[in-house]
Amino acid sequence: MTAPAPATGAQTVPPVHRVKGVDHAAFPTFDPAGTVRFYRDVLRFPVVHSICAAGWGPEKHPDFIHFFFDIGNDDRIAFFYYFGFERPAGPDAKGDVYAGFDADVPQFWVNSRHLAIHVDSEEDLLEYRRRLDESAWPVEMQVMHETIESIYTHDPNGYMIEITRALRPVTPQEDLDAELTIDALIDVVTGEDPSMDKLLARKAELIVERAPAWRPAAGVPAKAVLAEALPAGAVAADRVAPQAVPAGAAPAGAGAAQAPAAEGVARA
Amino acid sequence: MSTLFVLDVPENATVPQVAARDPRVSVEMVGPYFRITSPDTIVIDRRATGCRHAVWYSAVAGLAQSRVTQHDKDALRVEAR
Repeated sequence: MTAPAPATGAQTVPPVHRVKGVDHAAFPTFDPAGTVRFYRDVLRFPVVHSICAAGWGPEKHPDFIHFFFDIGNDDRIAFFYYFGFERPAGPDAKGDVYAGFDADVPQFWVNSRHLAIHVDSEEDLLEYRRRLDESAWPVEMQVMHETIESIYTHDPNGYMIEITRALRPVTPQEDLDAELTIDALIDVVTGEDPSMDKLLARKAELIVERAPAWRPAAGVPAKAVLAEALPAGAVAADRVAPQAVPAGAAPAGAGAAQAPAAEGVARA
Repeated sequence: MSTLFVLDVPENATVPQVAARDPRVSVEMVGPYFRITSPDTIVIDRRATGCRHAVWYSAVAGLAQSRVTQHDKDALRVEAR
């Protein structure tokens, strides 16, 4: 028997997006003992790999240990410990062992670089909270950001670590919104005096240009796909028709989002 | 004309709803966005929406010939530019 040939050449075209998540994110440490306590003993991330490397290369490259912890999903966080290598001098009022900042550097900037590790449920998040709170590195902050909930602490190296869960799946229209935001951002930052005001003005232009024709990608579950539920004319970008959305023709599956479309428009 | 866009996701739902309490405000869909327009200034009371910080301060998706003149814990105010 001979297997039927593919109907089209589609199966031979490699996918555009071929990556598979984080292989490893690597950080230097001057406290390998504390690092192992934090990741292996407190968080219980298994040690899954390590390299004992003698120095190499033209520089005075010290001997080092490169060690890895499993952070789930086959992803890993890794550390370098260099024997005899002292931490380079620099400000250490804020930041971590890799990047120190003077005291007057705003905390939002310092905190902007961090690693967030995903969990699937509140139960899992609280389990990590419990493990941290029983350790020398208790949770410093637990925040419900409406769509996500996160706990934060700093590891023994000063690296900010977040553990986070999503309160709902990301919807397809949020992918569109992200595309429009980034295209608007590129336009604005390549012009003069970038600002949020300019970005929102440019983004409004892109919404009018591109949102009416938008449909979620095939195979992507639509949580609140408004256009599908609306009369064809209702999505015309050039219409300002208060009654374009009849009551009851609100977004399919949008949950609470159904209410405003119906009520707000029906009122008019 | 004051015009702002708000993405239709569940936690933004009350934003156009509260805006539309003003009889001069119109709401329509442009793809997956609410387009909120008024010949006057659009004022949306934050507490009436029930939105907390992360949602409230990221609810505005676009401004067409308009500008934000207030966006704080009390209200969002959008006026024609």
